[in-house]
Amino acid sequence: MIEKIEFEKHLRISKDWLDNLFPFYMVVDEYLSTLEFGPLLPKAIDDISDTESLDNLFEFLDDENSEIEFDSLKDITGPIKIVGKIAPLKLWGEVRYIEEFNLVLLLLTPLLKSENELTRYKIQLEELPLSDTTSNYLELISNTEGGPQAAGSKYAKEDEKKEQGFVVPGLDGSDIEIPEDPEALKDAYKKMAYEFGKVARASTELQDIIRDKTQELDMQVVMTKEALRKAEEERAKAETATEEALIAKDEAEKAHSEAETAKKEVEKAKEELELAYEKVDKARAEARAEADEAIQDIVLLKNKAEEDVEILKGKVSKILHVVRFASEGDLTNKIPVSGTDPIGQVGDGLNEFFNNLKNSVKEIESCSSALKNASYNLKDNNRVMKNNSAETTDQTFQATKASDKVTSGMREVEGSMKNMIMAIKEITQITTEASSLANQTSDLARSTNETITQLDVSSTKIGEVIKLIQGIAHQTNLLSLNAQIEAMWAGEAGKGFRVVANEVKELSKQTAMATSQVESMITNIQSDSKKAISAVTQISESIMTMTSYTQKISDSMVQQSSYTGLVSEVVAGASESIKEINESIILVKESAKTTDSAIDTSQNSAENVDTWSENLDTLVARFKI
Amino acid sequence: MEEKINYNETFGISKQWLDELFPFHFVIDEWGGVIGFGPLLSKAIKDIEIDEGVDNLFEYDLLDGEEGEVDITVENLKEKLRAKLRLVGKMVPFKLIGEVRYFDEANTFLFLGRPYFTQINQLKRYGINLEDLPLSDPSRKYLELLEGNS
Repeated sequence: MIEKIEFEKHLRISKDWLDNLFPFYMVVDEYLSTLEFGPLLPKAIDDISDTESLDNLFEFLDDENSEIEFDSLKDITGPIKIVGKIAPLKLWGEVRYIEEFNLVLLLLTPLLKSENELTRYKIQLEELPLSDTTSNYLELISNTEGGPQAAGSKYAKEDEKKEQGFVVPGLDGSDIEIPEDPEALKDAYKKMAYEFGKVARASTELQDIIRDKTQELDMQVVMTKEALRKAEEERAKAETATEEALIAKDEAEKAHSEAETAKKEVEKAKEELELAYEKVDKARAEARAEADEAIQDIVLLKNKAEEDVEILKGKVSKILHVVRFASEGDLTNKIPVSGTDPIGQVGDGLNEFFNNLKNSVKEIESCSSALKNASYNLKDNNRVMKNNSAETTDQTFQATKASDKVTSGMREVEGSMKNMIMAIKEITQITTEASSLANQTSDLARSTNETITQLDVSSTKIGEVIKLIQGIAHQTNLLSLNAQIEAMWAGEAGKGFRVVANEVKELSKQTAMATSQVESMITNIQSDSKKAISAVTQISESIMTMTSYTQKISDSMVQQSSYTGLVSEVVAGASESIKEINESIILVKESAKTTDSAIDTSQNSAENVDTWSENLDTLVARFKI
Repeated sequence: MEEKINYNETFGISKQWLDELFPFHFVIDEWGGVIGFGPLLSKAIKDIEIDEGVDNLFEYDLLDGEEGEVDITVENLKEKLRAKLRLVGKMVPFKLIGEVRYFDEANTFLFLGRPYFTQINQLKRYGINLEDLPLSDPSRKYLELLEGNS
């Protein structure tokens, strides 16, 4: 006899497979005991249990509802139908007889004609195995009027049409029936062609959508990559911005220094130019003075010559000839009149004058050339200074940009520091409150401790009083015993006294018991007081530890606050430095502007010098020497 | 035609049990090739062969409540492991209802299904009689019911 089924051994199939595929299965032995059953059976039949006899649970569903017997059961080769005796659940399926172990395995499935039949047995259709077609057939029957037979006929015809190709599915899921009549067939073809058209249009639209979406995605990818690249560039720029600002500052200072040097050079050139002007003026004055002197001599000579005009006419004519050429600037001729006589002296004097004039013209020519060179150098310097000034302006622009970025960063840091300081202030306030609360609690604990200690002392005193009462009770008891003995000796006369002695004895006993109870209670109170003192001490220690931690947090916050203040000062200092840099940049800019203006003025002067030099050249060119 | 699967090792159930209880079952490998099938399936679909692609043999007849011809793939089978499936043959319109179970150690799918028709004659067209179906197959009882024989 098998008491416990081993599925693999006895049935050669696992319990898991049977539970999943046939949840209404049963295994019965030769005594019809149900050794195992599927998981859905106990839901339908509440009373089913291991070793319940099958014939108590089910009977055959035939004309006579005959009883189930093992011998007849094991020999059944066709389908069986059984119905519950307790609950009228109908099952059908097959019988598998395992001869080796004399067991019967019933593979069963519910026999239903409507969907809600199972719910009576607390089972849903969805609980049936997925491979069980019961729910499909029930759905088919319930969707057709006229019962199962009408349903079978209706669906068979529809299937047949589909199989023969008279029905094809439309785009919207509805069936398109293809008629056998040629005219109707033509319409059907038209309808199908329309459907094909819809498919083609839908396909084209879909392709367009896919193409657009692909393009959008490609665009998004490109944009994302570009955004990433830009972000990377911005990051790199931000990293180098500070370095650039410092470099720009250095360069600005260098440019400023160069501008200063250039300014000095311009001043030096100006001084040289002024010296040149002075030389020219001096030379001009000398020439004019000499010319005036010569003219005076000529006038004198002329006066004298007029007197001796007749005599000296020839000589004068020669002299005049030379003088005429000289008046046109040709100083190359020499007066051929000489001697100690006046006209000879005039000839000598004129010759000397012409020589002096030639020397002056030569000197003017030399000065003009020097002036030209000075003007050329001045223009060259101006050009260099102009370039330097432009470079300075450009560098100050770069420095300003970098400085703006650094300023913006500093402002953010400053904002963060302010937030942090506020947070630290809040934490400090909270820790201060916590510390104050801990101190209050500590005071309370100390006060409680003192009260409990006082209670302990009072308990000890009560204990002493109790001991005193106990002594009195003991003495009273002894006295009552003595009184009883004395009463006994007194006989009948002492009877009343004996009663009183007895009462006293009882009272002393009760007193002893009561004091004993009070003593016990006092002991408990003392024990509890000690525990309370210990607990309050621990609480007090915990509060001290907590206060210490709170103090540490508070100290840490103060330190943190100090650090934050330092950082704020550093940030403020950095902001101040940047402000100074900005002011320096503005000064450099102003200086560059001034330099530009000075260069323009210098350039104008140089151009004027050029003009004057050209005029001098023209004048000198009029002399032939 | 030799099947390429050891049923006991892979599924924990013998080929004999499956043939008897689910004669329309079939087994699919990780690439969608059929590597085993029940005796009545080869009777219904005569061209079925080992290593034949399941997408050449069947398509979904009803999927997620929608009728339609959707190809069977390993990917969509994996998504339908807890669903009732309705398949129809591509060569012949033989309909099956059942479920797919996945055995990850062998990377193999097992379809356990039963034929789904509304008249016995439809079965007979495929050379299958009502008596060929397992006694435990509900289709057997309901086909009789739909024809008014029960």
